[in-house]
Amino acid sequence: MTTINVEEVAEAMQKAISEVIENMAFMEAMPISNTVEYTPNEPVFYTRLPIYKPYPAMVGLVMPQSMALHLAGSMMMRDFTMENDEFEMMDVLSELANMLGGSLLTHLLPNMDSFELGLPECRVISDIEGGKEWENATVFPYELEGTMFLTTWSEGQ
Amino acid sequence: MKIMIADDSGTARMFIKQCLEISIEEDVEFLEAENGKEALEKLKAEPADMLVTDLNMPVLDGRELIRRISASPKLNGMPIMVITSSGNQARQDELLEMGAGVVLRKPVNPMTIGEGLDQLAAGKES
Repeated sequence: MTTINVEEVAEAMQKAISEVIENMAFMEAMPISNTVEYTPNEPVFYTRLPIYKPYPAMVGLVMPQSMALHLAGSMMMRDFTMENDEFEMMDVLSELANMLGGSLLTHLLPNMDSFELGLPECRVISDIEGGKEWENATVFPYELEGTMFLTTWSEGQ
Repeated sequence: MKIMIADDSGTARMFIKQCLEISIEEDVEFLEAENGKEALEKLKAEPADMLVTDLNMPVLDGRELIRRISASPKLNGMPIMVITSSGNQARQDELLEMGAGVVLRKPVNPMTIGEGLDQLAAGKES
């Protein structure tokens, strides 16, 4: 199995996050130390995107509910609530993950090699301590307007 | 002007619509589809002036949609703009060969879509 250098992924992830968040939500996300423990006191949206080629991998986006609502509102230019918009929230985050994966691979692969993405899946996790699905992934934490969120990368599926 | 937008994400369709509305001066009527099969069926019933399509869609993907449009006497020649997360150079060359007029990589904005429309118009004239 191909193993990608973590520093290369981190650098490509930073470029991808900047490109996607700035273009879609007009906000700036900053990388923060991955020694900070992620313990949000609210449910999180976990969105994952499989990569099929050139090697199997998974890109993830872990975002607290309040941030996801704010981000979706900023992107779609209206207020979102969990009561009325949970399905649409998932669609927004799935599209973000889709763009993140495409941008990540564009920056990661040499010579513009071909790649193939799967379809994103998004769900709400109420109790993050109940089992982190991304615990075997490499985690890249970011801060957006004072709130922490994660991107994840794992090889194989 | 009538434009079909094929993308499985409602978020993407809405964002693309907003960008197109900013970039096109005349009134635009939008048709929407969540996958290539739905787009093809709707286009056969109601042809559009242009197709904007994603590649990675369930049921029938964008590549197959383009192939079937190119093979259709009724739809062949319709300008096609691909907007995809998988838009690298190799894929772009293949899609242009298949019949796409322009390939844009997500995320797009009104400016990149406007440039794409200019490329489509230039390709149509040549």
